[in-house]
Amino acid sequence: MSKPKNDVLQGTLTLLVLRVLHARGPMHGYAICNHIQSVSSDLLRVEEGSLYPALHRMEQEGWLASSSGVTEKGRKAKFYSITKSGLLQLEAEKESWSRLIRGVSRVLRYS
Amino acid sequence: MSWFARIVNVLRAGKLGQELDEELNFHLAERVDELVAGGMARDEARLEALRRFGNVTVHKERTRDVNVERILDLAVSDLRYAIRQLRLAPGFAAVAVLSLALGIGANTAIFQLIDALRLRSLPVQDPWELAAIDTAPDFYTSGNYRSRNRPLLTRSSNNCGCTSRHFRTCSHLETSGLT
Repeated sequence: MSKPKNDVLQGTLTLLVLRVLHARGPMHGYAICNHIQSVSSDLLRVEEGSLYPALHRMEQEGWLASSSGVTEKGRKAKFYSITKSGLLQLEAEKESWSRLIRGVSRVLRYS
Repeated sequence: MSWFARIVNVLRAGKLGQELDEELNFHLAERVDELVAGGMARDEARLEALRRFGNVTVHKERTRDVNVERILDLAVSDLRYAIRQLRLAPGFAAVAVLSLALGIGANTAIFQLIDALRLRSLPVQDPWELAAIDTAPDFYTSGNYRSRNRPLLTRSSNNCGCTSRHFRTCSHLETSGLT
């Protein structure tokens, strides 16, 4: 099976998830996945399976907190929300992302 | 996540796995619903949801590994920290290590002794049929005296030929230097 080319870059997933949870409040994995896809007008597609290892890692790092809740459809789901140290991490990731962008665009422009 | 929560997680690995299953199943169920709402047949939607998800088992294992790996990482860094702290106070470390070594050594030695003497059964055919026979001091031997549990033997009769004749129910007699 060939992978879609617009898979989210490894490493930016953390940034995206933190940003989405910061902006939208607690969400479950499925909603995060759909949200990233629709906000980016389908330019970015989260590989659904790899979202969960990432979410659990972020929870272990203490950037996310989780609680179980019930969706509007009445299903039980695990909701993630961002923590204080998650907010700090979000700022750090934003910063390193914009540095990457600046660096790459300079190379593209001046080489 | 606190230390306590991590320890609890290790102890209830089965429950954690179940929670992960629930989480992933929820995702798939939602995806199926969305595809069905978009006009797909339910069976087809199920397959499509699985296809989009990728290899469920692999992702499940990777998620589980995240949790286990983290615990191992923490254990290793704790160990490093402990070694650093011990290096800072070599005198204290030496005393601590020495007292532990002596304590463990003494315990092991005593245990081995007790084990050999009392805990292990003697190397004979039916150890549970063993009986101890002892001699009584000479001055008790006049008359028909019997000590509480032990048949009476005098020191003069304490040789195997004599006692075997006296105790027909015994198949074998051993003499011991301890009596």
